[in-house]
Amino acid sequence: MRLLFAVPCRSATVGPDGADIEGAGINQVWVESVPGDVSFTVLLGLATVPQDPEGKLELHLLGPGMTVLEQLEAELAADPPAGGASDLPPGFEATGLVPIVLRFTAQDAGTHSIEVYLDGRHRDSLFFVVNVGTPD
Amino acid sequence: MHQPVIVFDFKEKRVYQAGTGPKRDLTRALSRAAAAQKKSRTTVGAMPSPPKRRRK
Repeated sequence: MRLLFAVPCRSATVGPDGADIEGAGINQVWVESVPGDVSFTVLLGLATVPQDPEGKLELHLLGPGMTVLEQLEAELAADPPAGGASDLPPGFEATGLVPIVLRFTAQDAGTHSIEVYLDGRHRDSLFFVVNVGTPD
Repeated sequence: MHQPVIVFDFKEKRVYQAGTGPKRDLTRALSRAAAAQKKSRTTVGAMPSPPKRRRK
């Protein structure tokens, strides 16, 4: 399984014609006080070959100082092509969009990141800043 | 590949996804995430720049 892209956003709805994304590219989170609950979405674009339709997605939440606060993992499985694996032309990959909803409690203000691992290999770092107060 | 939404709930230290548990657990996890999102705001702004790499 291969990571094509990872887009932090407020929300993403996936349909057969693609994803509708709201608030793509966010990198600041504002909470009234810390600790404060936070939630946003990361839309993942993934590609798989029929011979290897499964993968392990691991996300590490890093806090200020880049210390690992939490890590969780999920098994991903691609739907088989409509007509079976032979439905894909040779050299083609199946692709898919997976919205990942994140929820955590920010204990401190400062730079955080979500580290994206696929099948044990680091694929992307998504940095964001937790701020206390309001953006206005 | 078409995947339903997956919830990585670091607060509960659990992952919720369709087909791996009761559907109501995923629904509740999404509700908790929506409540957390209402309490916070997200914007786009300045980021600290990464450390410069030294030339060898």
